[in-house]
Amino acid sequence: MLREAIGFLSNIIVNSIFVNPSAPHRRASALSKVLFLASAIFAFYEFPSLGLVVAAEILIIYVLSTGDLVEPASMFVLSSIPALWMAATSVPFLAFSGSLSSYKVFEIFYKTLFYSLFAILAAGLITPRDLSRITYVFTRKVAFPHLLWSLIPSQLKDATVSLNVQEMKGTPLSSSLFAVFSEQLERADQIMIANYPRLESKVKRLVKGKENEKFTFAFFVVFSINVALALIAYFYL
Amino acid sequence: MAEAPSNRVAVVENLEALYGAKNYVVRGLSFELGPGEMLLLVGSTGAGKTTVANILSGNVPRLVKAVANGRIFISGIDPRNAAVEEILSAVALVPQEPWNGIIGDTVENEMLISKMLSGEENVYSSDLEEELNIGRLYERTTFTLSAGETQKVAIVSRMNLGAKLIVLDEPLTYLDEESREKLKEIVRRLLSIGKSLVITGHEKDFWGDIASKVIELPHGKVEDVKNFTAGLDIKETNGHPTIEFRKVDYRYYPSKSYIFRDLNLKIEGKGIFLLRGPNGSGKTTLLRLISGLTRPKRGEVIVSHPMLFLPDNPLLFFSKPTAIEEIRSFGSFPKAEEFLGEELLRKKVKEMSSGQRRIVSLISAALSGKPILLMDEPTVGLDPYYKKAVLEILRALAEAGRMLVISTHDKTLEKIADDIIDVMKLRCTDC
Repeated sequence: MLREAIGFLSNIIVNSIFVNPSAPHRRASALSKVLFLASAIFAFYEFPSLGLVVAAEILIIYVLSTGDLVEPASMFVLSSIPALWMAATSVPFLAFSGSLSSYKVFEIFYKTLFYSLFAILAAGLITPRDLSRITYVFTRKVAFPHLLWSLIPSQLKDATVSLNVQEMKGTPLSSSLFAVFSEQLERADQIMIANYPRLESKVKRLVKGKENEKFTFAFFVVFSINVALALIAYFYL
Repeated sequence: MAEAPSNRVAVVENLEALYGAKNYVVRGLSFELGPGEMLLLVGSTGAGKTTVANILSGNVPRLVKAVANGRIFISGIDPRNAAVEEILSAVALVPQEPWNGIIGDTVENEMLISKMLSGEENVYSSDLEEELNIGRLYERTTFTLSAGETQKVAIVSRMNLGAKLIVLDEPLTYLDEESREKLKEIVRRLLSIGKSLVITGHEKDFWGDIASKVIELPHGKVEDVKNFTAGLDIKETNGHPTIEFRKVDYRYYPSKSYIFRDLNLKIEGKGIFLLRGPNGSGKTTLLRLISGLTRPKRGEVIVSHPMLFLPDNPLLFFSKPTAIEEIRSFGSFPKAEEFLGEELLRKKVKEMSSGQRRIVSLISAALSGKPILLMDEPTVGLDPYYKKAVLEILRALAEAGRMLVISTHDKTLEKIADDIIDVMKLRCTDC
């Protein structure tokens, strides 16, 4: 059961963040993506009902970019896990304080859902190439953000394979987890050995890569909508 | 310290490498390489080829805790204590396990990182990318590539660094025949423009015509593998194992094209069934569908008996910390010491070479008693001695009633196969 849960979780994380890094919306300018994220959080913070507008914007952007619902659906499922957890664990505390109501529990679920969604969205939208431009400014090294983005999904994939093999072998779960953990440590060592000069050297020039102008424009548009809605909510509601 | 001759790219004199105080892996290795020269370093599994590759590329003693004595100069620097930027422009290492050699999250970014580090658009990199078909992989995430595709990407990204010496640690391991020939052409071209190469492997005949120098690393191993499988306690299994694909559709997200569409396939009975096809053809995907690691988008895969999956990365198979414990987890192998040697049996998994991991995982799987064994490239990276032994084990398993479904591009396996399934013929061509 735990093996299936880990496999499911690993798939959902990969599908939410790592599965399609070359999608057009991820190639929009970093500034437009950051502004969109900031405006979405601001709008939601000022008026939580605007979360529904933000959710619709996310859906539209992803469907226009990927032609599929796999990524947004995975993001919602993933963010609902901490939301359900927070809502469920809040029940005894609310009951103890005498303020238990279905509205209160739903509010906790709803707010956690969206804040988790923003965190996942940030991890999915800000690409290693965006981050490497920041690390370049400070260290002139660009490889580590890329490594992180390639290592997390491949380690999750390896962990799933390893757990599956251990299950077929009939290995007890504790040994399986130990095997997976050892394998991950060994892999990290091997990656360092195979890439040491590339990871530790400073780059001679920075290549920014092509930006997707359509989605840069789209992010600026939704940014403007979010700011406008948040201001309306702030002043009139 | 003595200066290196200025016209030599690599000078190695009396190199010895040892782990711990007395455990010598390499002794008395000497060679010189000029521009446009290639050294082929051959040796059996565990003979120290990877250790030499790590010494030349500056990983010893920085990251690999071994001792390397002797005189070493690569493009005028001693990689053991040179600055990292000096190493980068002097030597580039392509590791044996290709997935460890990748940093980029996408193939495009992997290529870009090397180009940014070298500082210029490499004049021959685009040709290489085209020749090895890298362009079509540009937008792919590196964690979804097959082992063969990963190996090609790792090789080309190192070429993009523009280093004077390129060290390829068993570069043929995961490449199909066509890609091997293309790699050979590329190596020829690199030599013609003055690059120097050190290539490790078992394939003396393959590289023989272009290698300027060949050094064989000695290894004191018994050369006779005859009848050792008699000591392997392979349990007989009964029944009629069957694997059936019913109207299976499968595609990788975010690709819109299906690899398999409406696939109906039945594999039945004991024996060795090879899934044959070039790199990236979908061999591993079929194994993953059978094992349940991947679910079809539509249709079903029905497997009649319990199975065991040996992934292409043998490290993922291990559940015990040492070889002897791993082997004993399923049964007994009294001749283990005679066959593998006491030293290997006591080794921790992290200390084993890739080939050693593969042979130990295979013996463990053979002892498991599972009626169906799924194996992803079980012979890659093995020296002829171990390969012969593996073929014997596979045949013995089939005769003991097992169904072995093996994904491979290794032609030698065809000699012992009961049936060969051409994966390219199963693929959807107009999806």
